[in-house]
Amino acid sequence: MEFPTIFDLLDRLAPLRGEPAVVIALLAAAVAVVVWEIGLLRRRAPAEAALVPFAPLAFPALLLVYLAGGLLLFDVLDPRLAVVYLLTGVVIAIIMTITGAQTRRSRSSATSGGESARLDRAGWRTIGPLAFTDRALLRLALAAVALLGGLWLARTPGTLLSFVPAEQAYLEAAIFGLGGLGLVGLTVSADPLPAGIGLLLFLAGFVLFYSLVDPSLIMVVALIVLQLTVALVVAYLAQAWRRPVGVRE
Amino acid sequence: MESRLPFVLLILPWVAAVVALVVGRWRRVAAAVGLVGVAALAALVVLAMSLPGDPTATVFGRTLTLTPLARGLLLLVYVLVGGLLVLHWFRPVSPSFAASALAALSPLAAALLIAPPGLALALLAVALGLLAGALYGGRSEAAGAAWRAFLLGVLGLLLLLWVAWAQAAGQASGAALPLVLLLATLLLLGGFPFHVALRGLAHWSPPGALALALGMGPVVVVALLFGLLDLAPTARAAAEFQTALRGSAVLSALLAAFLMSRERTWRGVLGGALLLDAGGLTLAALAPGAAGLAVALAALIGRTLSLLLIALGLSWPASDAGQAGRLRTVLLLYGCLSLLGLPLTPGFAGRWAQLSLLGAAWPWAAAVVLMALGVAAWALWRVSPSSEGDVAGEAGSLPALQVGERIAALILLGLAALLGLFPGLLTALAARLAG
Repeated sequence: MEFPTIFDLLDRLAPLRGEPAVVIALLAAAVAVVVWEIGLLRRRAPAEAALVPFAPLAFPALLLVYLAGGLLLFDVLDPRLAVVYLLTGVVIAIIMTITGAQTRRSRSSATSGGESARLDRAGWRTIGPLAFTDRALLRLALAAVALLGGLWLARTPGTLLSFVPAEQAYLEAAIFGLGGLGLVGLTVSADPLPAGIGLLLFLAGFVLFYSLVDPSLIMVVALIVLQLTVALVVAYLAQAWRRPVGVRE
Repeated sequence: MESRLPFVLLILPWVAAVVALVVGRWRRVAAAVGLVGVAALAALVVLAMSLPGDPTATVFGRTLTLTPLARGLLLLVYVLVGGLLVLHWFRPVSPSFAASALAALSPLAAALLIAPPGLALALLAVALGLLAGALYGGRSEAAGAAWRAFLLGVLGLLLLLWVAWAQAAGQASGAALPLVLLLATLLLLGGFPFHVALRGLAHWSPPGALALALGMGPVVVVALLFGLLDLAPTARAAAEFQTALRGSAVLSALLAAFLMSRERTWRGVLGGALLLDAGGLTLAALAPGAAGLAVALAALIGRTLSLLLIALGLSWPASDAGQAGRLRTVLLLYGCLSLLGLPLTPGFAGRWAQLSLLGAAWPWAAAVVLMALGVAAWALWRVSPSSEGDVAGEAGSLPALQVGERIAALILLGLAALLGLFPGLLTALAARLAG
């Protein structure tokens, strides 16, 4: 069996390239931003209800952002460089997923499951089976604004980045959409994990912009170093942040 | 001149950091490894100074050049880190402090040696990541503040990356450039309104790590930032840029004085003093060329010395009512006054230059900042001499004072007093470093 090359894979993914990739990236980024502090209430007994958080959905959504963003990078970079970005994105998504699992485990080991569910719900609102915080509502509203901004840019190409070629005008919506959603994520949380995912989304938009204006090898290396550094620092500090107060190394 | 020196400056810190990490269980051994490492690095820089021309090395197709500015700044950084490792020898800063400090030296050096600025800025982000780890220092309470400091730094670096591209591509004439430069300056130097990390850091981070991340680290940050500012003289001279920087400094001073007046502990007032100093540092960006860098370097040397004095004082037991207790109060009070930049302290040289820059255009603003300084000094006076500096429950575990430690504290205090009495020494040193 012959192993497919990058170009074979690109041919197979041709229907997803361009505008469909922008839509997938922005919707996945919106999911990665808004799923924090929202969950489903599952009632086990009259006096006790368990929360099923939506937060774990942020990690596959982040992976989807990197995969769709990678398809967009193939439009502006040498395919061999774009594939390095794509692989870096996959590695970052894996780092974040492991961090999410570890922080969840460390929190649930600090308290028993039902107790943690009850403690965590202080300040939460409920509508039917859905539980959420005020901050989650704010995040949702701001993410909707960012998505609308992306839609507006998609309909009026060349508004903010006049140098983008007309045939690649969809990149403008992707750059500002990802940047805007990233800013929403990083400003509406003090927790390093959701805020870090916001910063990584912002960086994904920035990488797209920089690849458009400076597709040199050295800047590809620089931005990969930057992304990996951010991912590692987020992973380290997110776990430190969730440790019980007073624990020393 | 082709040489291996620049390459060794990048590799040696990592080697020393790995050794320090391996022997991390024995704090003094780790500190000794660090001291040997920075001594070797400083010796290499001195050797480079004696050679004709600028030593260069080619790594993966990129040229590393040890310019006179880089040599001077690296020597300063190594001396400051050496001082912090001496502190770690006497008093544990945090479990992996020596390794973090040493590891950060490599990307900091690379950021100074390498071109283009885009790659240098990415390497600076690596250094910021390592410094964020040092700020966390094993205290879960400090993780949030360390994260915010890192986040703001990375956002500032991304804006500078945009500036670097705009400059290289000839797009630096747009109306957005002064705004981007302003945001980058405030984000990287921590002035109002991007001061959100400072209070948490002052409360929870190991004091020695504060001196490392807020004193030594910004030396390289300002060198790169001011270098890019010099490439966009029109944007720097724009009225919006200058007005916003002055406004930020004044608001930082007022907010700092207000916050300090509400605090009763050393850690509490330290947060306000750091904000006041950060606001002042942004004023250095008003002066173009070497003059601005010299003002910033004088302020940062003063800040590092101040934080070193404070770190020493905070790590001493507060319960000692004898001579050691009095010396602790002197260290804390003099360190905080120096951070405010009052006369006869090492912080005065930088603060005076900053006030001159502010007062040249807005004399009333300089008067407002002076008033804020007065309120801040009064707030310091109200802090109880026996106030616990460190987090609750930690004071009991502090090791007893040693004679050597007291002598080292007196030497540090003497050096600080000398620089306070003769501010021209610090100004001349900073001007020489800035070229």
